[in-house]
Amino acid sequence: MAIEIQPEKAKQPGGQGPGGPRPARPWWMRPAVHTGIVGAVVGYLVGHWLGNFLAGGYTQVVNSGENNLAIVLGYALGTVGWLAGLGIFNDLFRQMAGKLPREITVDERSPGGVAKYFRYSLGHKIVGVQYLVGVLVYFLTGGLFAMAIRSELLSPSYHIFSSATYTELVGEHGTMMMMMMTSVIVGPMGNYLVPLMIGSKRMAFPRIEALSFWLTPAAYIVLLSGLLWGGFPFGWTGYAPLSIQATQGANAYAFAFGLMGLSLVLLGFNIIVTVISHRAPGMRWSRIPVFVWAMVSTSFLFVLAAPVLVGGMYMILTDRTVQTAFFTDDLGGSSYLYQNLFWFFGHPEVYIRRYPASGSCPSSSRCSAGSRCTATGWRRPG
Amino acid sequence: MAAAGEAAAAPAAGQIEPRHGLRVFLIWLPLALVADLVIWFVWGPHLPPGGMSSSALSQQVDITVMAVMAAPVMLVVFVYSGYALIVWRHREGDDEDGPPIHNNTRISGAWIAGTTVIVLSLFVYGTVELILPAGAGAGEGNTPIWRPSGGTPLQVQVIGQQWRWTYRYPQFGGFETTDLVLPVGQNVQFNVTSLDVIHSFSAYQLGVKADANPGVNNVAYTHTLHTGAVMVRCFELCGLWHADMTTSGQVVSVGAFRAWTAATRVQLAALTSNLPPYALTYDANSIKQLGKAFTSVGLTGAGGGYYGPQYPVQP
Repeated sequence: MAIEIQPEKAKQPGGQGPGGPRPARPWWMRPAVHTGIVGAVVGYLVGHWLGNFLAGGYTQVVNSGENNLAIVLGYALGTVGWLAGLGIFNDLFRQMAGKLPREITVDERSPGGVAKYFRYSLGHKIVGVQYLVGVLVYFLTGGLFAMAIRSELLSPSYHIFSSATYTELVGEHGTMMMMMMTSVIVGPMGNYLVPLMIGSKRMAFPRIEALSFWLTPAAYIVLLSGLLWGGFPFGWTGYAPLSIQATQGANAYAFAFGLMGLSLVLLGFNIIVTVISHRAPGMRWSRIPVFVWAMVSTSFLFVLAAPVLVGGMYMILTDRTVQTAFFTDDLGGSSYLYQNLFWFFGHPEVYIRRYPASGSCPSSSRCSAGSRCTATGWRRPG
Repeated sequence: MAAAGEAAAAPAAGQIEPRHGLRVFLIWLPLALVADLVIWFVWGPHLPPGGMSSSALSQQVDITVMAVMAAPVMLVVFVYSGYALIVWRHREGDDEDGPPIHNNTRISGAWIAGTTVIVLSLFVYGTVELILPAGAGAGEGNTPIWRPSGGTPLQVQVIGQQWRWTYRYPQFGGFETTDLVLPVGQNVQFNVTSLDVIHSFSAYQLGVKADANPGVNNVAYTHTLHTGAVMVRCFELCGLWHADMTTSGQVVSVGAFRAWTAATRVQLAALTSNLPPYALTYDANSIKQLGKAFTSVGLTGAGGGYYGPQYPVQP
């Protein structure tokens, strides 16, 4: 043909046209956990400097020279740096620059290799496995703290730890178990199984799904960093005047809980929207498995309860850093307020742990296959 | 449960299926009766927290009632499981299919109705038992609605601070001691408050437990019935030495109580004049001397100085 039908292709590295698939860079050049760590460190340093710049005249404990605002801003910017290093904002910047966002299926199809589990992967099965490994790590860490508690309690008179260290261990154990493992079923199993069970190939918001996971290692590290400041003496509930009075470790508690709260909201909201809008044609609400119903109900608990927790933690942080008085009775606040906000989350929290287990039972292959009665209503037609 | 198996069981050739449901019931009934009688008459009077005060006694009765209700339920589970394990054990060489199980709406309905009745009756019972014994020893907040009848009770203010309990007796001059001494046969009103963080006043043998919040007056009532020793503990994690906030108190005869108050009032007269005047709550920021002392060693919270002197804004 004399007339050129194909447009001229601009030269790109790899010889493809603009917008075509680019060859993958080596793993150490792609954003992953290692770049995330770099971003977290840089972010923490910037935040710490910023906090000292803003509030250098305050100190939490007269003799320590440490500044709560510096620590909190360090955590905040460190988390932003962690997420940025992982490449979570890359698609956002790409769209701002007028380019197309990355295709979702690329990583899912990458053959073999574990590298995709250490990246900001958007495939729901990958995020499910990441969540599974994550919660197992958090569970085992909390378990190590529990073993430390049991070791101390082996003898009533011989003490392995000082009183302060023991109190710190109890708090870390409780918080690790109750906070980090709230999404123990909905995270791994919900993300992995819900799209499969409703006939969808993806969650409604894959990026939010992955973000909700990647906030959890940040919360884990922040919570463990509390040990460097001497931990916190108030257990996992963080009741108000004591948590305002406590030394720097309490910042780690409040910030980690805030991050997890954010992760929980995103996780729950994603599942609800997925089940509402991504069911396969013909997959009516009356046909979805009981497990999916359990995930949806639990996700409503996440969405309704976790924001209140984040609010309570935020108030603790401002009470500790910038002299608000939400929880100080003689300055116009109330110690009951924190208890209310915390337990507004705390009661749904225990149901968040119970519902998925109840939903797993009738759906499990042991329950339905070996017995003669299937879960009521979910019989084969005819 | 067993009736479903009984109704749906196809009898083997020439054999009438025994009535399993009736059997289980006949095994369960005497066991449940014996268990309930033993619990009510033998075990009940020794259940915690004992009978030293009206609230402790009512709690003991409540626990006994719940045990009496729980024992038959537990026995149903054990008897039915044991029966199933023994009677329906798989015999060697038996390859027959089990009976086809269908849904039985009457049984499901009866189960749901029965458990709902039990739960709702417990709800009613619990509410009644909370109201009748003047709040059942729990903290009722600033304006208590369930009060004991019979005049003004003995006022005891319980002050919690990190990490010690102290008691003030406003009707005897407002002296503050670390000893909790109460007269027998008397209505007692505990006004529980805190100076710094949240504690919880628990006088175990008196059946009293009330949170001590800073700036809040939490009122709990009881009526002492017998003399004896009382263990007071802190039941809300309040910092490093929370486990050490333990004291012992006593309930003594009226004469001994009067003697004790008279002697202590005289003995502590000088100290009492230095204390802040008796109030239902105390603002730690206003105890200036204490605030200065604490701030200089770098503590915040207890005793004033919520914000140390280096903070830009002082309340």
